[in-house]
Formats: sequence, C-alpha cells, structure tokens
Amino acid sequence: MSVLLDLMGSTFIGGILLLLILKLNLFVTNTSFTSDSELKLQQSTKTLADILNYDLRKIGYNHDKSSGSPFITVNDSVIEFKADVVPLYGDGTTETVKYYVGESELIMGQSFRVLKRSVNGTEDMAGPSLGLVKLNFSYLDSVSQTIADPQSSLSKINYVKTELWVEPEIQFDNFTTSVRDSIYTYWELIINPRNL
Amino acid sequence: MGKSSLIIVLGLSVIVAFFILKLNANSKESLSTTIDMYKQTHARQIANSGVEIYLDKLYFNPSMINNTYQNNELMNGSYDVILTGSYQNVKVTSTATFMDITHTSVVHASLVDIVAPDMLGVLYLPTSAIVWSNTGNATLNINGHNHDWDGFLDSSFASTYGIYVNNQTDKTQIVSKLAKNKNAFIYGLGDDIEPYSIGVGGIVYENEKWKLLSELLASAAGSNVFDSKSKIPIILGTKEEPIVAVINEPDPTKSVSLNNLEGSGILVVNGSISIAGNFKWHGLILAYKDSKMAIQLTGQATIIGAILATGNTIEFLGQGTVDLKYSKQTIQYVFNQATPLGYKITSWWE
Repeated sequence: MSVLLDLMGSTFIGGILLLLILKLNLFVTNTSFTSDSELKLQQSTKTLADILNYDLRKIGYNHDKSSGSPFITVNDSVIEFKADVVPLYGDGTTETVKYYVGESELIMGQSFRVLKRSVNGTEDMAGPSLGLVKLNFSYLDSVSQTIADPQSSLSKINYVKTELWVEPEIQFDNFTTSVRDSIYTYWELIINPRNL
Repeated sequence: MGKSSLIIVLGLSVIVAFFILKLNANSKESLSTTIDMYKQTHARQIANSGVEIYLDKLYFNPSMINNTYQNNELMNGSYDVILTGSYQNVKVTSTATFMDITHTSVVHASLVDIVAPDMLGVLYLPTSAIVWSNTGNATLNINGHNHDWDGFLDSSFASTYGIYVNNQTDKTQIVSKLAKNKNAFIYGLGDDIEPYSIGVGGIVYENEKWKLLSELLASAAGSNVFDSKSKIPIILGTKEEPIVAVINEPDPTKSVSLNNLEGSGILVVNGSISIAGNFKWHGLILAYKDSKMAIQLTGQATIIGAILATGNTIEFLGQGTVDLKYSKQTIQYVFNQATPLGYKITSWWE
C-alpha cells in the first residue's frame, strides 16, 4: 500500500514539475521570439541610420559653393544632393546622390518600404527593407527652425533631420494577451553637414 | 529519494540556467548595438574636436605645420593630428580612438582676411521676426551719422541708418515700441523725413555670412573667452591694441555682467549681457548664434562703432542709457588691428 502511495505521490509531483517546465519552456520560447524580434529591429534601424548618416554628413563635400547650393531635390520623402562620396576621402569630383524610398511591398501581410540610394542617377542600390515602414526628411535653418518650403529655400538649409519608423518583419501574438504585438522603433537623426 | 531529489533539482537548475543564458545573450547584444552607436559618435566628435583644436593652435603658432601630434587625450579617448600643406592652406587629418572604435576626419582650411562687414545700420539686425523689447524706458541714443574715434560727428564717411531690419513688419513693430518710449532717439539716414531712422532691406537672408564671420572672429579670440563665471578685466583692449573677445554664455537663465568696463576691438556675444555702471566700447559688438540678446541697463553704455545682432530677440531692459554712435573708421581700424587673418574651412570629410 505504501509503495502505491509513493508511486502516486511521486507521479503527481513529477507531473506538476513537468507541467511547470513545459510552461516555462513556452514562456521562454515566446520571450525569446520577442527578444530576437526586438534585437533585429534595433539592429536594422541602426543599419539604416548608419547608411544615411555616412552620406548625409558629406553633403557638399568638394562641391563648388559658387555654383550654388549642393541640394538639388529636397522634400519629405526624397533628398538629392551633390557630394564627393567616393571612399576614401573622395576623388575630387562630386557625385549626385539621391535617397528615396521605393513603393510599398507586402511581406507576410504587412507593408514595408525599401530605402534606395542612387549615385549619378544610374547606380540604384537597394537592400532588403529591414522593416522600414516610413521615412521622413525635414530641413532646418541656422536657428533650427523647420523650413516650410525647403525646395525654394535651398540656401537656408543648415540641418537635415531624418526620421525612421521601423517595424519587425515578422510579428508574433503576445503570449499573455494573445494579441499581435505592435512594437516599432522610431529613430531620429539631425545632421549638420559641415560643407554647407 | 534523496538522490532523486538532487537529480531533479540539478536538472531543473540546468534547464533554467540555459533559458536565462539565452535571454541574456540577446540583452547583451542589444546593449552592444546601442553602445556601438555611442562609441562611433563619440570617436567622431573627438576627431572633429581635434581638428578645431589644432587649427586654433596652428593659427597662433605657424611653426606647427607639417608635423604629427600624437596621443592627445580628450573626452576619455585620444586623437592623433597630422598637419600638412602650408600655413596658408592646411590639411588636417585627425584620427580619434575611443574604446575600440577609430574615426578619421580630414579637413582642408585656408587663411582668409577677416574684413569688416558693411553696416547698413548702426544697430544692424539682419534677421527676420525680430522681437523688440525696451521695457523700463531705457534712454536710447542711436545715431547712424558717422563719428570719429572719440564720438564726435565726422563727415568723412557716409551716414547709415540708426536701425536696419529685413522687413517692413519688423520696422512697424519696432516703431510702435519706440513710440511708447519718450527717451528713444534714433538718428541717421532718413531722420529728416521720419521720426526714427530705420532702414528696411527687403528679404536678405545672410545668416551664413554672419555665422562664418562669427566663427572666424571666435577663432581669432585666443584666450579672451568669457562666460558668466569669468572674472572679466575692466580693460578689454585699448586703442593701441584692440582685441577680439568672446562672451559665451549659452544658458539663457544666466547673464554676463559687463560692469565698469572699457574696451576696444570686436566683442562677440552669445547670450545675455548686463551692463551696470559705465561701459564703453570702441568697435563692433557682434551678437550671434543665440536667438536672444538681452541688455540689462542700470548705468551708461557708450558704443562707438556699431552693433550687429543676428539673433531674433533684442531686449533693452532697465533704466540706463545707451549711446550708440556709428563710426566706420573705428570699425575698420579695429578689424585691421585685431583680426589679420582667420582659418576658413574649405572641405570637411567626416
């Protein structure tokens, strides 16, 4: 009888432990997915910011100021400018560099944009979307006031402000609430190109 | 039973430890992404600061050209600087290291003459949307007719306006404020037609020009840089040796006191100044960068030369007196004597 009680008791305790481990595993797996997703989101955003940061800091580099502003097209979704962006430290001639976002693409039911870069109008470069959903450029004057119509005031531009909204390409249901997570990252860069 | 419990506890501990390690790895990686960005930014700032520091040093010591200066410490990092080319046209290569990140900035700069600006008004406000305030009925004697060094009228140079602004809206605002002050006297071009000599220059956006001038002047100031904590000498430059002095107090809650001070040269102001007792300045006062120039008056301020304010707020507070007399020869003289040359950046790779 005592052996039977021992067996029943240990089976009961073992079952509880097993359930706890299963639950813990489920929780950790879910947390791990979310954590991976957040990490990827952060790394993708930093990659996009690094790409923009590298080129926007060179606006006007080796550009002849007497020929006018290095900016060509400036609006909230496109920035086109002259700069010598050839690594390393330029080659003495300026290129026309353009950043813009492509049309929306559906990835797993979500709409993403791709950041595109062209040099001299021919070398279109684009990578994966990296979860970019929105990109916004704005332009500030020397006292950090936003210029309402930058295209007609190119010489007033002193700072370029870039805003990025990035979401995970794969989103998961929240383990606790069962609602799809809607995390996103907002990254803001204000760059003062030294060659203006 | 005891052995079984031990096995279960140890087994569970291993499983939990594995989960924690996995989660911790992501957390560490995430932190590393943020720190990388910080390190890159910090290294770039050190490299850029190195360029400016060594351009300043070279300006005062031409023998430093074509040399390498290594292991300069700054902001918990270090930088090496190579100065090549000539004193007139220098290439500065600054390589900074912060933790394990390296950043190189390459800058070309040329020596240029700093020339005195053409003052369209003795109080020249080349900006838009000016907020003018003269509370307390401070006495304003602003005179755009030319004067000599000693402040006597002198017809050897043409007159200019008392105040010069960019647009009619600003002029209207200033006139309405001045009209409430019975102690405001604004003379100069046009004072025979209108009660106040105020010129309007249409839409002239020249901030870049003033910014460049301010930076060149600031680089020529050497050690004459003061803030609200500084003990400012009562003599800042003389007629024989006019100087460039910079007052830099970006904190809007603080004001730099210029009490019983006399000086000659170019006074570059970023921030608020208060004048008590007597203040006398020969040359140009250039207020830049900060959007507000507040002059708190409790004494007598005499300026022979001109004031150029590129911010958009001008305040004359208190009960004192301002005598602002235009003097083209004084401005030209202090520019010739105090600012022979300055470095102008021609290209900057970062």
